[in-house]
Amino acid sequence: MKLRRSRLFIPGNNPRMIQTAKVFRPDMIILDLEDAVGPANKDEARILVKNALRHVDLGCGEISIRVNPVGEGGEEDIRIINEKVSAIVMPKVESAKDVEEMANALQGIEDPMDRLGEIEIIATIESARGVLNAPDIARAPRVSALAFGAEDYTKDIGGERTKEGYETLFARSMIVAAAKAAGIQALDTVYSDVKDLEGLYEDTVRSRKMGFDGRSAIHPSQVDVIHRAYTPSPEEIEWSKQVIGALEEGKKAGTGAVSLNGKMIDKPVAKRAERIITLAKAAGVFKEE
Amino acid sequence: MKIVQPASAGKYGRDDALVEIQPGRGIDMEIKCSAPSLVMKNIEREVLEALDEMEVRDAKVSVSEKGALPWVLKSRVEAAVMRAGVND
Repeated sequence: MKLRRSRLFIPGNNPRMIQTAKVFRPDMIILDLEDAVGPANKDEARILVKNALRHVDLGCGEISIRVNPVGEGGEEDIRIINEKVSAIVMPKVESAKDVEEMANALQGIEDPMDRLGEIEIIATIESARGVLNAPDIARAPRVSALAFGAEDYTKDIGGERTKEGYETLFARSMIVAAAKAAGIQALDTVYSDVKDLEGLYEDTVRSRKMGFDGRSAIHPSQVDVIHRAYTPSPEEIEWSKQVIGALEEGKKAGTGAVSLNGKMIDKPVAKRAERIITLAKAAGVFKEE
Repeated sequence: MKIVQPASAGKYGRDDALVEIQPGRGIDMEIKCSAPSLVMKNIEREVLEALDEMEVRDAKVSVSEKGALPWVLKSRVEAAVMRAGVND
């Protein structure tokens, strides 16, 4: 299981930020060649990111590139991928066909690296059409996660961003359901008020409860807060250990139904406990007894 | 690459460099930075290496930098040459 609690966006034309990104220890660094780079600077950003991938220590998290859409420079962006890049982030995905086009283009660059089929696609859904096609997008080749872009989505539906997030509730739920049905990750949108870390924490806890596996960060200060919200608490880990222990004892004793503190442990409860343990292990907070 | 028109890349900002290039005879380089002369020498070497890799033999180059690392200098030279040049 890949830990993708935080995905820190780094503008692709900013050497200072590229060099310091690893210090904040995000689970994933996204070198952004799309929205963070103006049209006149796409070429120099592409060269900068290409050389960063070859010469800069970007830390031990996953490294990805947010590419431009196919037909708008995306094909050129993927040519700079080397062995360090595990995934590309596709913006504004509206259909499985968008992904298929990019997947085909990736084949051509993977072949010489002997990495055929290895580069994953994180498909970002940012429109009403994309939301309605989310189940197909989630099943498209190479897609390992669906991500949500709330700013563009809200514009697309003619809505307005609110703190409560009612305008994005349907889209976020749809993305989680589509991702989970396809057995892939769901990654939530950015929290754009970079000064409100308390609000970020509360919103991220809600995001986790909705089923998201992680979210984007647009400022390094958001990374730790996001990790705290997506990492199981000691109480959750303890509860999960007890659930799994009770199940194992029940198995040994040949008991059909197992309970813990008077509550039945059914399949969804067992599954939740297993997921918490897996996540805790991946995040390095699980201690064997 | 043959430099056929003026072009620039990067910017004069912290950890970055502004590289300006135009047609010239041989390599004529000007470096603007506040670093000691030893650092200036290294910058000059990095820029010359980058130009050599791209087979640029004739150009007037100006580099204004504020602590750019070698990979940044190389990137900015590469981008400026791509914008200013054509294949021989």
